[in-house]
Amino acid sequence: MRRRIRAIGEPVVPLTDKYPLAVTFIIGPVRHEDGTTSLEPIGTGFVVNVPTRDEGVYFEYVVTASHVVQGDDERYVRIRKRQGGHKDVRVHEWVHHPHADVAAAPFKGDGEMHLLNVPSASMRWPGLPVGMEWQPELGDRVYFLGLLALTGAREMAENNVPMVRSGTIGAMYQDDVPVEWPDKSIRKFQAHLIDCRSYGGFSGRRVFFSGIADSRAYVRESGGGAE
Amino acid sequence: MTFLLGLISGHFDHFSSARIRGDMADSGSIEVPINTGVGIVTPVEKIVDVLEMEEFADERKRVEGERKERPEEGATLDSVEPESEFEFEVENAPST
Repeated sequence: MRRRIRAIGEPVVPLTDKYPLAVTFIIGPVRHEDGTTSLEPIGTGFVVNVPTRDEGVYFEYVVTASHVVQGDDERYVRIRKRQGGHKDVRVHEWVHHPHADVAAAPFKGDGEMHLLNVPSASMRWPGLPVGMEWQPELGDRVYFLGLLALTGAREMAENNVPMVRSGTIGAMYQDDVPVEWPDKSIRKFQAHLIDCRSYGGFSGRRVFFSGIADSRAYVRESGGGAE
Repeated sequence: MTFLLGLISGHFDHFSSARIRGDMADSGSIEVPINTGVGIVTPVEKIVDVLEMEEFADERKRVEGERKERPEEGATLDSVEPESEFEFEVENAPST
């Protein structure tokens, strides 16, 4: 039984201008029909903050979809700089989930980067008792920020300009959802399905939903991780 | 407050036949993908799984262990040390 009180009409978008700062783009080689190769945005990622037991000491990891960083090609993470512009940081050591389309790699921000990260606290809701206010349900609105890799918007992607989109939860925890892998094989994973528009290049975007009243910040400054 | 549902993996396309016009009108039809508007989201639990894999967890444990073994540091007290009744040499002793 739903106990949540819902507003009638469009919900207030629970985003601030900080959210786009938690978006990173994954850069990799793109092979063109004329045989040339160039480094271009190929997906979206975000940086997760994992605290240790020592206060103020934490680890950072860049997270994206596994299929975005398959293979041995070099990958970079594009980060905005405080002084303007951006820089591409090479990322090694991707660790892939054996049964899901997600990969992560160690990352360390620095003071030059204008980057916010996602606290691991925002990922703990599945461990909460079912029925609590912050459990997502079918029909709930979800939001996602990602790379706008459309023809005519290439310059926006190159400048790390993310775009907010939204949809609703259509189905949750569906087993054996078929996904075409980069090598054209079909792999099946557990996944949620959302009613939205998603295009190539948006892979790796984080999808979030709005819980009710909590003072924890969703994003926080990156940098100054574990020594 | 917002929570993470997961990350986007892709979307489903529906293939639909398209009519060819002009000089190639007699070439038959082609199939083109049309975005159905159904997106695929990898659940957040899978992200947590990766972050808990030993490749990352071991490093966090190592750093936590090292920090735990560090001796606690405090301010130096401004007191007069009593003179030792013994004289000895200390190699590489820092100058004061």
